[in-house]
Amino acid sequence: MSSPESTVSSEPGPRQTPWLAIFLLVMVFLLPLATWLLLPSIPALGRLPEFYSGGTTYPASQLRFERQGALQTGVELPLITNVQILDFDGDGKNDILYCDAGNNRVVLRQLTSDGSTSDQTLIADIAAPAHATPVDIDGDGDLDIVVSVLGNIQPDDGVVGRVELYEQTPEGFVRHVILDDVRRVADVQPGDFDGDGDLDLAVAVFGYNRGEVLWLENRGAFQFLDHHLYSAPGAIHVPVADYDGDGDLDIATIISQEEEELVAFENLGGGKFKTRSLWLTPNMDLGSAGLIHADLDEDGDEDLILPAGDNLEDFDAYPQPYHGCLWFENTGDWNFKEHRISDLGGTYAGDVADMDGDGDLDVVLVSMTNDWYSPEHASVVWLENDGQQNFKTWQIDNQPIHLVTVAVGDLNQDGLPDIAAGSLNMRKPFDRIQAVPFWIQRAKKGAPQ
Amino acid sequence: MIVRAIAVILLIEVLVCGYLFVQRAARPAPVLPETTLMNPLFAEDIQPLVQQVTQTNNAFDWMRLGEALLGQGYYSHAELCFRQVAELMPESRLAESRIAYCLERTGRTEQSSELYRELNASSDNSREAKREQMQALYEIGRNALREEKVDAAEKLFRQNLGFLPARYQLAKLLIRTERADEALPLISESLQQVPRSLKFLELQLRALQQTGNVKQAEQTAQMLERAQHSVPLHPGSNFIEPFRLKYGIDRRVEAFNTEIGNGSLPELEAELVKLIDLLEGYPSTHRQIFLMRLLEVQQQQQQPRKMLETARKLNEIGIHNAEVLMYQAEANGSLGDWNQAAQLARRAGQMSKSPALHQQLAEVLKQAGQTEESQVEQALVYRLEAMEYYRASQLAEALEKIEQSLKLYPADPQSWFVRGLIQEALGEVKASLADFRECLKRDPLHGRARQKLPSDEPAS
Repeated sequence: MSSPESTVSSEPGPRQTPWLAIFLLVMVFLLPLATWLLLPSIPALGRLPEFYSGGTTYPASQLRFERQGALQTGVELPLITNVQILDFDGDGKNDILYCDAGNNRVVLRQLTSDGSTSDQTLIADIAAPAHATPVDIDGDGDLDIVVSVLGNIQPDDGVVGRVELYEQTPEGFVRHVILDDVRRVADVQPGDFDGDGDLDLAVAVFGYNRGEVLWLENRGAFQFLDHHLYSAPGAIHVPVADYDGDGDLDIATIISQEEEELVAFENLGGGKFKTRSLWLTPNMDLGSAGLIHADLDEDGDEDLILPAGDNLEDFDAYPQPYHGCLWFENTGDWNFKEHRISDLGGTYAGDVADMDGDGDLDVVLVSMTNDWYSPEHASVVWLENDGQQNFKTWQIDNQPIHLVTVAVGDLNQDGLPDIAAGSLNMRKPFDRIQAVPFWIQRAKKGAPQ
Repeated sequence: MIVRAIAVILLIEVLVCGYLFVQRAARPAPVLPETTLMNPLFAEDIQPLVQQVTQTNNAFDWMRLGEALLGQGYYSHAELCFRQVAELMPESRLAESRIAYCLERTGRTEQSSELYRELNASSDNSREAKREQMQALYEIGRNALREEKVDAAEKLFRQNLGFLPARYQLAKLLIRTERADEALPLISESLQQVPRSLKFLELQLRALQQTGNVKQAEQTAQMLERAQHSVPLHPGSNFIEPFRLKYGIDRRVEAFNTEIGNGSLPELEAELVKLIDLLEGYPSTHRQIFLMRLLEVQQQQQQPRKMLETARKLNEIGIHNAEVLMYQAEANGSLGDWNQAAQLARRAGQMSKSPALHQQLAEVLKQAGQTEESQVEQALVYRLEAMEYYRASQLAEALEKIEQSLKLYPADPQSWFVRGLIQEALGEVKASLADFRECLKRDPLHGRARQKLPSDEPAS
């Protein structure tokens, strides 16, 4: 038996192209090349840790406030240092009196019934006015203006400040320099301190590294004798009231540079004062920004309210957790109990009024240095008093920003308190600017007008 | 076999490239402030840095971007950059210290102190490290004060007595807590190091008042008037300034000051105009500075019409100050209207206490033919200069100037008062009292002069 022959040919057949190998080989070369080419265009999809913001924001106000006017579109940087609401010209309608430290003038803004406004410069050529105090100093029935002159809005330890009294006459305002060659003056408040029937003046000389508190004794005919009360840099305001209820006027002040201290000058009569330290904090960065007096708990004595959030000493200011507002409840015998009633970042000023008409006193605050890099943060708030001095914060607006002064009053004669503020634009961002914004409160639907 | 080998190589490549893609995609992009909230020049300057970190994810680039943002006060944005540096280079002490600073600036004091403590714990013994330790310890102490933890702060400042600001804070705490006796030696020692320190003299005054040392307190009060702020109380922020000057408009200003500042007046003018043009369309605090400098350059070139035009631009952006008024006065004078010049210059004088400005006023008044008024103004210039010398403790120069002032205008009560102050500082008690009396003769309501006289002396 023979075995069948193998049919397998020993001749080489046509060679198959090794496509797979070629493809793989090409890929081996292409892949790094493509990677090299494409890698730079790969988007960055990673994430940094969570972004922190120390800004503060609150629920929208239940009371309706409408901001009047538009934000500025020009390149001006307004430096408004003080606003007040009062009927300056005696026409029965409230006006806004403000100090403009850029244009160096004191201005009266009048509001017409159709909602338009007109600004009239009352006093020009006044170097960095910090505060204008309308007062009938000569008792002739019209309002004169006492201006606290900083002399320089920037930090300056020179004797560049003044107190200038502008006597209102039918021909216009007549200037009297009643205190000269002192450091930067931040506030002047009137009161008959020596009980002689005329108005004297309490003066806060803020200065910079050095400052003082004085009172000026009215000697008639626009002549004043200066009396030194206290030396310390950074006296901001000198609210005058009968803090001890003994029938005469005392002076309080907040010292704000390096040492942050609440000081009072008890009137002992006959032009004598006793200095009393009411409160001080070890936190040298608290940023006391002003001081107002009001009987916030309506118990018959005068309390003190301290907005805190000034950090202008920093080139780039930032809101801090201890910023906000402190209420110092007068508990008698020169004791004041501290209550923290707001944590608004960068709080710079406040005013007190019954905003919601419920019979108790509420507080309005503005912020200079909230975290303005996030648009939602508050620039104006009001603190609703529940009648027991528990306060709930409501946000009125988030712009304009950099607000340093605020006043409450009825601007449109509808019986509801409105708000005016002023902006000091010295720090970034230079955005959402309005020099003297004001908000008109609108009645709630269904509420009697 | 070959195919298998190639497949294995390819697989490895796929894995490597995949890893590269994933790693690349995982890199973070920087978080920046909204463009509208940044100065356009700064935004332009940091663009290359932003691209660089996005491309390379390199620690060095993140650090530079962080510092650029820090220089402009974008603390939280900068913090994220430094955190990325710490992520890429866990051993970077600089990144940690920058993070601690950002935490402190944004009010997160507890976290900031914790980080400073960690840094101090891991620090070596080099001289530089020692200095950094003192700085960090001081920051922890300051944070404790901000948290109102007085005892902790006192302990920290006691540990750091080699650091002058810490010594200041400790002395201040001692005085606040009625321990002036303990504070006084600390203050005296410090004043030996910085004899005219305003801050330590301030403390000394309070301590002396607390201990009832009236005479020494009075002497300190006098010295305080001539003291200088020489002890920075927040030295931790000093490192920021160079970062600020590297970007945005500040970079251009630096370039102007260093490269162009010594150029000819027309060159300066042209460069200033360029800088002002760069700011076109958005608010900036630099606009006023540049326009004021331009006014100065135009005045030096005697270009009154251009000066008036620049002054108008300043007025348009809400700047009506003494300096602008004085330039307007000089421009009017140069154009021949000296009456208008005198009027404007007087308005400027009313708003300023600068001797230089009052010197200009004196000259304008002289040109306007108001010789007597010019002399009174010149006396004021000498008095203001005397006060500057007095405050700089250059008493001989101060006395010379006030003598000149009194010679020209002896009716000015304030000049007598200033001479009294100078004499007092020179230890000439009798002469100073005589001057204060002269002041009161001319102004009986000069309260500060009254205070200088013995309380039993009747006011004139």
